[in-house]
Amino acid sequence: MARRRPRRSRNQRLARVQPLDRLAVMVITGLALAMGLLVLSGDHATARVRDFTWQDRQVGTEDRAFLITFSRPMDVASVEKNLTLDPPLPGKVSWAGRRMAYTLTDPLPYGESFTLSLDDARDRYAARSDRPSRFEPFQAQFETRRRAFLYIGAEGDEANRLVLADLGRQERTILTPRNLSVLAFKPYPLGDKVLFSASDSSQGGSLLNQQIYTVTTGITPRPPVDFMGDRPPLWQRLLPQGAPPPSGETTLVLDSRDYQNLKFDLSPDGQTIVVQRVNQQDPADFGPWLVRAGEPPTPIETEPGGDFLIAPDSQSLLLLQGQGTAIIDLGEEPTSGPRQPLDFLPNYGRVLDLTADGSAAAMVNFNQDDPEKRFTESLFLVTNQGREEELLQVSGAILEAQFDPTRQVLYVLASELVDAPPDSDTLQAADAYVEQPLLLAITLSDGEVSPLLRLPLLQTIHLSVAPDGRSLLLDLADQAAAADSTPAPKIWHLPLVYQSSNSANDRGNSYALANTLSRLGKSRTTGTDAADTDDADSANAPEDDSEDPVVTPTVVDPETFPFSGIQATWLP
Amino acid sequence: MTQLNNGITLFFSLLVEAMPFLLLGVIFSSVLLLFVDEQKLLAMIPKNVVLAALAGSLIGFLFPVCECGNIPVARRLLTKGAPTAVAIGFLLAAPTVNPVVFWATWIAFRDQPEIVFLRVGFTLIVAVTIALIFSAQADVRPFLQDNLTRMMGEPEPTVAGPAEPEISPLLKSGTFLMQAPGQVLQLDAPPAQVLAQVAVAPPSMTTRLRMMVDNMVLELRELGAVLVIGSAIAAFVQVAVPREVILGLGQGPVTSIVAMMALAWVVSICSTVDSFFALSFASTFTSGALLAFLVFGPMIDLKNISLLLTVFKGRAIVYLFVLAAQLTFLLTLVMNLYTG
Repeated sequence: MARRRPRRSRNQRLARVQPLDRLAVMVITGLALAMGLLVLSGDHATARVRDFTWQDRQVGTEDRAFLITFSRPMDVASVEKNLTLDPPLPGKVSWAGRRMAYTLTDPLPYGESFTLSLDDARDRYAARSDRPSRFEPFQAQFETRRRAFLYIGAEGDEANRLVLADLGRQERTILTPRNLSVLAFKPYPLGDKVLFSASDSSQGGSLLNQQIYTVTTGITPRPPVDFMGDRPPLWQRLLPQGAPPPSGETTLVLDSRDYQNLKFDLSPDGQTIVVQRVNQQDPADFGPWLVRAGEPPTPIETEPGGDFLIAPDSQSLLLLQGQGTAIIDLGEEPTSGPRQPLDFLPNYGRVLDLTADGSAAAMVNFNQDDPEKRFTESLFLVTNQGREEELLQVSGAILEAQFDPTRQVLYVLASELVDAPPDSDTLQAADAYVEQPLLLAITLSDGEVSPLLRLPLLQTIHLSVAPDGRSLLLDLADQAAAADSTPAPKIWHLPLVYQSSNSANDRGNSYALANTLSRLGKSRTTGTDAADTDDADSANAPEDDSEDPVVTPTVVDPETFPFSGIQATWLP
Repeated sequence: MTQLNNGITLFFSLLVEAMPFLLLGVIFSSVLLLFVDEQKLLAMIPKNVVLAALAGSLIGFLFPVCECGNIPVARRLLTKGAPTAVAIGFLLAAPTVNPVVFWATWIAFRDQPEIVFLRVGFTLIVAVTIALIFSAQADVRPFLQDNLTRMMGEPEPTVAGPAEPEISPLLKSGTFLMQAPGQVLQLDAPPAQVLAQVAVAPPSMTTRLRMMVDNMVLELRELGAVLVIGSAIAAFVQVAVPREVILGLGQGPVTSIVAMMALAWVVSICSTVDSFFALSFASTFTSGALLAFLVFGPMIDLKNISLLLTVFKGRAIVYLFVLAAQLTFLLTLVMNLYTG
C-alpha cells in the first residue's frame, strides 16, 4: 500500500490536467472574447415588417382587422405615428408583442384598392436606449372585393340566363348556357361560384324539373389568411396558383331524376346545400335534403316543413314547421330517429334574415293569436339572448328584410293597405284597397323606422343590400308580366348615405322619379303618406333620445341600369 | 403556503413530464445493451472525428428521446466503447434533432419556419463543436464517474488517439488502484452488464428479454431517483426565482438572449413540448432569443444536471455547460444583431 500511494497521487495530479482541460479552457476563453467583441460591435439589425396579413389580398366585409408582424419588438408610438393607409381607413390599433392589430371601425368600401405604408419606425431596443435604429420601409397593397351583382336576365340574349354585372369594370358577362332557364341562384361566399337551379329546355325540362348546378364566375378569390384559424399546409402555399377558371363552367350538383327540387339554400360557408325535394312518384315523400361536397345527398329526417334558411353558422337549419320555426342541427346524423329540433319558435311563421354573426333574426309574426291584430303582420327582432322585439306592424305584408352586413340597420320591404288609385280602365268599388309597397330602414339600436321609398303598385320586388352597406339593389317586375306590352323588369341601384338621426329630419332635396319611384322624404314625426307605418311603429319604438348618434340611411340619386332582369343580388 | 403548493405542482409536473421519456431512454439503453453487437455498432461509426460527431448527433432520429431519456442511451454508448464524439454529439443533439421534436416545433412555429430549421441547425453546430472538443481527449475516462469507467473496461487501442501510449497505462493502473476492492463491486454489477462485458455465447431470446427487463428496472431505479432530486431542485429554484424576474432581466437584443437561456435552464421543460412553451413568448421576444431557449434548453438544464452527474464528473459538466451556453449565445446573438 505504501508503494502504491505516491503513484496514485501522481496519477491524480496528472489526471487533473488533461488535453480536454487545456482545450476546453482555451475554447471557452476564445468564445468569451468573441462574445465580448460581438456585444461591443453593437446592433446592426434592421427592423422590418415580417408579415402583413392583407398583402396583395382581396378583402371583404367579413375581414375586420389586419395584423402586421414585425421582426422585433417595436416602439409602439413610432409605428402608430408613421403608419398610413391610402385612402384612409379609420381603425383602432392594439399590440401583442411584435404583432400589431388594426381593427377597422368603418366597413370597407368595395371595389377599391388601398396602399399601406410605413416609412419609418423604431424598434423598442433603440427607443429605450435612445439610439438611432434601422427600419426597412414597408409598402403593400390590398384591395376590396369587386362591386358586382348577379341577376337573371329578362331580355334578348340574356333572357332567363344568369348574368354577372361588374360595376367597377362596367361589363356584363352571361354565365349560364342558353339551354338552361335559371329560376333561382345564390352566390358562394367568395364569389367564385354561383349555385343555381334551372330547367334544361334542351331536354324538354319544365319548371317542375329543375336541377341544381354551379357555375364559375371567372373571379379568383384571394382572401386573406385567417389568422385565427388553421393555416393551410405549406405545400399548398408553395404550389403555384393555377390560372383562374374561366367564367361559365357549369357543373351539375343535383339532378331531378327521382325527386323534384323545389327550393334550395346554400350555407354561408359554402359547404352545405339544403334542398327541398319531393319524390316524383310519391308526393308524400317530401322534405329537405342535405347535399355536401363528395357525399351523396341525404334526406334530413325531420317533421315535414316549408320555407327554410341555413343559419350563419352553417350548422343549423331554420325550417318552418306548422305554425312556427324549428331550428334543426345539420351536424352529425342522429343514431336513431329523426333529428330533433334544437329549438322551436312557435310564434314566427317566417324567417327573413339573420345577422352575419347569428346573434339576431328578423322574423314575421302573422298575429293569428291576437284578434285585434288579426289582419296585420309584425316584424320581430329575435336575438339569441331570448329577446323578442316588435319592430314594425303593417296592415299589408312584410315581404322581405335584410340586415345591413356592416351596421345596425335592417332594410325592410313591406306593404300597407291604401285606397286604390282611380283607374280609367277598370271599375273599382268605392272602398277598394291596394297594397302599397314601401322600402323602410329600421335602426336596430333604437328601433326607429325611416321610410326610404314608396314603390310602385302591383310589382314583384326583390331587395339586395350591398355587402359594404353602401347601396341597395331593387328590382321591380310587373306582377302581370305576361303580355309583351308590359315594360321589362328594371333594376335600380340605390346608393345610401348615412346621417346621424339628429340631422335626418333636415334631408332637404327630394327625388321625383316620375311615376316610378317616389321617395317618402319625411321622418316619422312629419310623415303623412306613411302615416300608417308611423302609427304602428310609434307604439313600439322606444321614445328615448339616447346620446349615441344613431345613423339612419338615406337614398341618394337612385339610378336604373340600361339592362333588365330580376332577382338582382350582390356578390358577397 | 402558496409557494409550497406551486413548488409541489412544478415538481410533479416536471416529474410526470420527464418520467415516460426516461423510461423510453432506459428501454433504448437496455435494447442497445443486449441486442446490439458493439463491434457492429463501432464498425458503422465513421472513422473521421467530425463525421463521427455528426453521426452521433443524428442518432436521435433513431432514438427519439428528450433530454432525460438521452442520458441512459449516451451512457450506454460510452460503455459500449463508442467514440466520445459520438456519445457527446448524441447527448447534446438527440433531444432536439429527432422527429418528434421537429414535428412539435413545426406545429408551434409554422408561421416562422426559419425557427424550426435554425433550431436544428444551431443544435447540430453546437453539438458537433463540443463533441470535437471532447474528442481531443483520447481516453475520456478521467471525466467520467467511477462506476461508469469500471463498466467500460480497457480502451480499445484502435479507438485511442496518438496520446494513448503515454497516458493510458498510467490511467489504467490508477483506475486499478482506485478500484482496489473492484472484484466485490463487479460481483454486484447486474448480470446483464456482466454478461455484456464477458461476451460469452449469446443466450436465448427469453433469457435476453428477462435480462433486459432486469436492466431496465435497475437503470430506472437509479436514474429515476436522480430525476426526482433534479426535479425537486428545479421546482425549488422556480419558486425562489419566479419566471417574471428572469424575463424582466432581458429586454435588449443581448439581454433577451441571456434571459431566455436562463429561463430554459431553470424551467427544465422537456424538449418535446418546449416549443409550445416558447410560443407564448414568440410575440414578445426576437427570433434569436427564442432560438436560444430552444437550442440551449434541451442540452443542459437544471433538472438533467443531476442525471448528467451519473455519467460525468463535475468538471466535464462545467465544460459542457459553459461551451453550450457560449456557443448558443454567440450564434443567436449574431442572429439578433445582424438579421433582426
